[in-house]
Amino acid sequence: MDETARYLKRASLTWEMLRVVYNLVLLAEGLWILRKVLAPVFLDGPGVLILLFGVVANAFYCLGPLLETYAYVGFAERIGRARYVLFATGLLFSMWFVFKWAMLAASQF
Amino acid sequence: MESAMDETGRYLERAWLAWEKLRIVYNTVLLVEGLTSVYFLWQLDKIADSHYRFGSSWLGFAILFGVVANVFYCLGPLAEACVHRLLGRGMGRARYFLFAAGLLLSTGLIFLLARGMWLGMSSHLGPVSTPAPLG
Repeated sequence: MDETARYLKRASLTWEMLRVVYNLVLLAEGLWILRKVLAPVFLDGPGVLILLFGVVANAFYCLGPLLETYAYVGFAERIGRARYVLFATGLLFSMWFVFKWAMLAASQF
Repeated sequence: MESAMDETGRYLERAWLAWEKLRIVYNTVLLVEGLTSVYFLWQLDKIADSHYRFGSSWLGFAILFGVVANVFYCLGPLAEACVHRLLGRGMGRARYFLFAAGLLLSTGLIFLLARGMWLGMSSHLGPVSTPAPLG
């Protein structure tokens, strides 16, 4: 295994561990919102939308490892701690999106 | 930079260049299909009932669809990088099968969305479209 392969292996392992954190945080936020905010207005539960959101959010999450790989292969740059800044930015954006979505849904009823 | 790059780096650079060229094809096909669908829906919109108008709301949805489709497209090069790391070799022609599968999925989704809107609108056509009884 050459250096690029070793670096990318370490980077992708880190990103996959962070993916667990990402999904757990979004799940906790989603459950909290469902219980505290949307429970009175949703009778059936927006199951399909939640599933769709999860799939799309995880596809967007892939932009993180992809960006790191592009930076390394295309520009020979290791992003270092910027990985965690990127992760935190994506997580905060997703949390904001879930919150706004829930508020919008609640205001419709 | 080229000389400092090892075998994996060179392979991934070549693979991603190929994926980015294919992205142009992908976006062109989706754009042509999307614009064709919008054209036909617009024609129907002229005679549709006022409650079921196509209107201009399609533009925001089309932009959102394009962004999400391009994010999903990124799964292609990422899959190639994963295959190279796990199997230690390139995808070869499987890249084009993966591309074709993604393209078919996207064009199919656009077709289904446009068909759904067409059926929804055509089931509420205004009186203008009602053909006069023959004889």
